[in-house]
Amino acid sequence: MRRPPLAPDRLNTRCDPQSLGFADTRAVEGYDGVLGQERALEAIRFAADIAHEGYNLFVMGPPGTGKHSTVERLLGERAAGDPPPRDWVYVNDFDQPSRPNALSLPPGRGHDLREAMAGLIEDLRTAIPAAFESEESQNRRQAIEQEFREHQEEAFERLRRRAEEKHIALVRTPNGFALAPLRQGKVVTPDEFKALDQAEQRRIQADSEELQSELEAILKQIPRWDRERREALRKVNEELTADAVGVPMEELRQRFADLPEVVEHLEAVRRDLVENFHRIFFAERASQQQQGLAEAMAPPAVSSNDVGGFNRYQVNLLVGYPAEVAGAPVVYEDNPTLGNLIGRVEQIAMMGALVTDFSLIRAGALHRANGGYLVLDAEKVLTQPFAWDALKRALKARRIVIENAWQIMSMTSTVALEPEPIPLDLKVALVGDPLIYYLLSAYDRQFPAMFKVAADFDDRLGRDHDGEARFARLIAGMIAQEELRPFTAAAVARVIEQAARLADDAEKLSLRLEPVLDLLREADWQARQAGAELADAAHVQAAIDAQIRRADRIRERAQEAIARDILLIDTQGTAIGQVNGLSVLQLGGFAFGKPSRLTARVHLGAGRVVDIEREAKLGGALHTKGVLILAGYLAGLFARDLPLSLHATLVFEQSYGGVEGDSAASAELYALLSALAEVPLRQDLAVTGSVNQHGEVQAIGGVNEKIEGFFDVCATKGLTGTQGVLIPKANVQHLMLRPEVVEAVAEERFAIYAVRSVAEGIALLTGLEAGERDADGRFPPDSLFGKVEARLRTFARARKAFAQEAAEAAETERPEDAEAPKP
Amino acid sequence: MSVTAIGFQRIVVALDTAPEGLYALEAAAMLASGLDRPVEAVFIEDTDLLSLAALPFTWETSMSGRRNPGFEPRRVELELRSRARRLRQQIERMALSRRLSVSFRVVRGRRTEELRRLRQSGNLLALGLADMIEIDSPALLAGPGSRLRPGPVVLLAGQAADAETRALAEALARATEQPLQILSTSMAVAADTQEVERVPIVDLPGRLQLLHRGLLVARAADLPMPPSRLIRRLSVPLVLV
Repeated sequence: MRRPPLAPDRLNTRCDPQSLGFADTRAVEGYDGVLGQERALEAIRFAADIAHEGYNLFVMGPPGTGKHSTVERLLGERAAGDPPPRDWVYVNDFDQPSRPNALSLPPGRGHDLREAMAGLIEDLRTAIPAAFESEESQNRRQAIEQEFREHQEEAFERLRRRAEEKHIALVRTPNGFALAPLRQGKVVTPDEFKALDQAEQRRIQADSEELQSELEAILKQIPRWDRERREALRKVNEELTADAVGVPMEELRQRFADLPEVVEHLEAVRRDLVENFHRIFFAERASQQQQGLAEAMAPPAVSSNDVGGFNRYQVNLLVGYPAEVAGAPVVYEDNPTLGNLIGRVEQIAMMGALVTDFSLIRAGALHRANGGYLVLDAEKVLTQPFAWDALKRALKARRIVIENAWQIMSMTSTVALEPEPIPLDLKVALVGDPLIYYLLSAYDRQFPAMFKVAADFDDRLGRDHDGEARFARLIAGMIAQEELRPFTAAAVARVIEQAARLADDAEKLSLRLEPVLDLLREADWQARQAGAELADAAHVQAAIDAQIRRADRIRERAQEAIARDILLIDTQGTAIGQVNGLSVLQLGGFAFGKPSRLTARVHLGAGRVVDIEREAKLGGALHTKGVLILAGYLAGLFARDLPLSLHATLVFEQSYGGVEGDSAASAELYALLSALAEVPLRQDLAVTGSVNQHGEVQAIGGVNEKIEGFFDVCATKGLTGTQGVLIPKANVQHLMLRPEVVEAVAEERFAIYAVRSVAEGIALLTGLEAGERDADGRFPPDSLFGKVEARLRTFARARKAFAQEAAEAAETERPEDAEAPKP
Repeated sequence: MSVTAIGFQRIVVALDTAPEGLYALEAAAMLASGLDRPVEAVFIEDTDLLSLAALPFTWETSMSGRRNPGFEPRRVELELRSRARRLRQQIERMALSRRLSVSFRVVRGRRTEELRRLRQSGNLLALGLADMIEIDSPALLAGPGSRLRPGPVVLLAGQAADAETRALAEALARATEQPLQILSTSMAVAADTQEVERVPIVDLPGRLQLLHRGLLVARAADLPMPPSRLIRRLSVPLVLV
C-alpha cells in the first residue's frame, strides 16, 4: 500500500499570533532571565558558590547562545554579595631590589599609601636638602673636616718643625713627599752635598732617614684618620636625616598603624633613608642638575633595578579599588596573552640598554580579578603562547608569579625582576566550544581536576505553548533593549517560526539568539523603509527574503545550470538505474539544497558494489559507510541462498567537489534496485534518506533545504503536479518549509512523501510493490524484489556456467598430466 | 705693587706638583668667569726638586707611606712633564666648558723665585696652599676645603678702613652680581657704615670659618692668623690685598 503525500499542515508548524495573547510587543514584559538554559544556569550558580578548589567552570555551547553575556551576568549578580577585593601594591625591597615586595591593603588604602608616599617623597626632596644645606649641618660637617685637616696638619707641622730644626724641609713631589736638606734656605745641590765633609754628610743622611721614618708613619695613619672622618660624617648625616624624616615618618606610621605590613615597610624606608641618604641625595642632585630644576620637579625616570633617588620609596599601586567598592570583581579579559593574564614587568630603554624596577610592574587579569571571577575565551587562551600553562600554574599554586616568556623557558641569563608572588583566590570561567572542552578533558590531564564544572548551553528550546510564550517575551525584551519599533503579534509569530526553522526542527526553537536578533533588526529596518510604525509579519518575511537574496548567488547559479541543462537533472519521465538525490551545501551562514543525479550500473561480477566516489577519493568515510550498508542490505535480502554475482557501480553524476554523509544512501539503493530489476524510476521525484541494513529509512539533516532545493528546480522548469520529494518519516517533525512550498502542496502541484522503508520508497518510485517472500521464500515474480532476485539468479547461473567452462578448459589444456608414463 | 679695583688684567695661577693648585685653579676660573678676565696657568718645574732627586740618600714617599723607588732627576723630570700635560688637558677642557680665555705655559726654575716673578707681573696671582713661602702680596688663595660657590663677597674691614680694599670688594661684588657683606672688628668702622657686622676679634676666626659661600677679601694685616694657616681653615677662597 502506498503512502499518501503529507498534508500541508504537516509541512510547517505555524505559530498562531492569537495564541500569544498580545497585539504588539509594547504590551509584553520582556523576558528578564536566560531562556531554556536551566541546566547551564544551575551549573554556573553551583560553580560560583562552591568554595572548594578545582571548581572552576567551563561554559560550553554553540555560538550565539549567549554564553558570555549569561555567565558574566550571573557571576556579576553573585559577586555583588561577595566581599570586596583588596588592594595590592609593590614596593622596593631595599636589600634585594630585584625582588620587590607585595603588600595587601584594604580597598582604597593602596591609593592612600601611594599618595602618602608620594607626599613623603616630595617633603623629603625639600626637607633633606634643606637639612643638609642648613647652617647647622654645614657647620657640623665642616667641623669634622676641619678637625681631620688640623689633625693632619698638626702632624705634618710637627714633622716640619723638627725638620726645620735639622735644616731639612718637607717638599711635595709628583707622587708624594720628600725631605730636602737646606743650606741658607735653599735646597742643597748634589755638588754642594759632595763638598761637605763626611761627618756633615752622615749627619744629614741620618737626620733625613729619621725624619723619613716619621713621615712614613704619619702617612700610614692618614687612611685611619680618614676612616674616622667618614664615620663621623656618616653619623652626622644619619642624625640629620633621622631628624628630617622623623616627624613625617611618624605621621605615616600613625596613619597606617592598623596595617602591620605597611608599618614594617615604613620602618625599612626609614632605615634605608638614614643609611643611604648620601647616595640618594647626590643622585637626586645629579638628576636635578642634569635635567634642570623644572624637569626635576616631574618624577624622574627610573634608572635600574636599584632605583636611584627618592623614587626608590614610591609605591606601585598594582590593583586599587575605591574605598567604598562593594562586591567582588568580575573581569573579562578579551585578549588573554601571557602578559595580559599574569601581568608583566615593563622595561625602559636607556642609553642602549633595557632597564626596569618595581615601579614598572603591571597587573594582569588575574590580579584584577583576584578575590572574584575571571571570564576567558577558551580558544583565545589556548592559542596564546604560554597563556594556558601559566593559567593552570597559577590556579594550581594559588598564586600569581609574574614571568615573561624568556623566564618561563629559562632562556634568560640576565638578572630579571622577580616580584613577590601574590596569593590567588578566584574562580575562572572558560567559555568555549564543546569540542574544546572534550579535547581538554581527553588530552589535558590537569584539566578535569581544575575545571570540575561544565555549564552546557543548549541551542534549542522545546516549542510548546509555554515555550512560544517565553520566546515571545524574549523577543519583546530584545526589541526593547535594541530600541526597535514595536512588533505586532503576527511579526513575533513569524519570528518564532523562523526560530524553529533555524533549529531545523518544527518542535524546537533555536537558542542561537544572534541570528534572531539580526532578524529583528532587519525587520525593523524593513518597517522603517516602508514607513510603518510597527513591524509586521510582512516586514519579517521581507527581512528573511533579503537575507536569502544577499547570500543566494551560488544557489542561483546552481539552479541556472540545472535550468540550462548544464547540470543534467530530469524532473519528468522515468529512467532505469537513475534517481534524483538531494544534498545540502553550506556556504558561510547560508545553506541550500540541490538535486544531484545518482546512477547505478550493474553487470556480472563477484558481488561487489563499487562506490565510484570512494574510488576517485571524492567520497568521505560516512558516504562510504552508507554504500557499504546498502550493499549489506542487498546481500542480506537477496543473497541468502545464492552467491551475489553482480558488479555494481554507483556515482553522483557531475559531482566534482567531494561527497560526504549517508543521506543519499536510500537514493543510491533505489537506483541499484532499478538497475537490477531493469525497472525505471520516476524522475519527477527526488529522494533523501539514510538507510540501515534492514532497509529502514533513517532521518537526515537539512530536510527543509533539500525539499526546497528540488522544489525550486521543478518550479523553474514548471511544476507538473506530479513532482515531489521522498523523505524519511522521522524527518516529518523537522519540516518548516517555505510558504510557497506549502502552498504548492496545498494546491496539489507538489507533494512530500514520508517513507519508513525501502519497500515503501521503491513502490512510490516504480509503481510496483516491492514484494514479500512467500512460503517458498520467493518474491512474487512481478514484484520489484522478484525482478531483482530473478536478475541476480541469472547472474549467479552465468557466473557458475563461466566457472565450469573455465574449469573444463583448464582440464583440457593439460593432456601430459593424463598420459604421464608410470615409473 | 697693589692691586687696584679690578685693575688686574688677568689671573695667573701657579701650578706645581701640589694638588692644592687645582683648588686655586678652580677658584680662579670661577672668578675670571664672573669678571670676564683671562686666566694664565703657569706650571713651575721646580729645579730644587730636581736637585733633591739627584741626592743619593733622598726618597720619595707616596701618600700611602710607601717609599717609591726610582726617585732620580730623569724620572722626576718625566713625571713633571706628564703632570704638566695632564694639567694642560684639564685646563683646555675647563676653558671650553666655561668659555674662558685660558693660556698655559711651563717654566723651569726655583719655585720661590718663579712665584716672585709672577707676583710682580701686575696680575692677580692665584695660589694653592703654599708650603714654603709666606704670602705678603695680593693673591687669590684657595685651600683644600675652599670652594668658590655663588655667594656674597665678604670684606674683612680691619682697624683702619681701607678704601682700596673696600673698592676692590665692591667691584668684585658688582662683577659677580653678589651682595657685599662687611665684617669688622673695629668699632669705628662699624659706626661709619650701617651694613657692617661687628665681630669681636676673639670671635673672628670662628666667624670666618662659618663662611661657606662666596669670597673673602681682606688685608693680611687684618687676618687673625697668617694666611697660610687661615686658608687651611676656610671654606671659601681668600683674596688677599
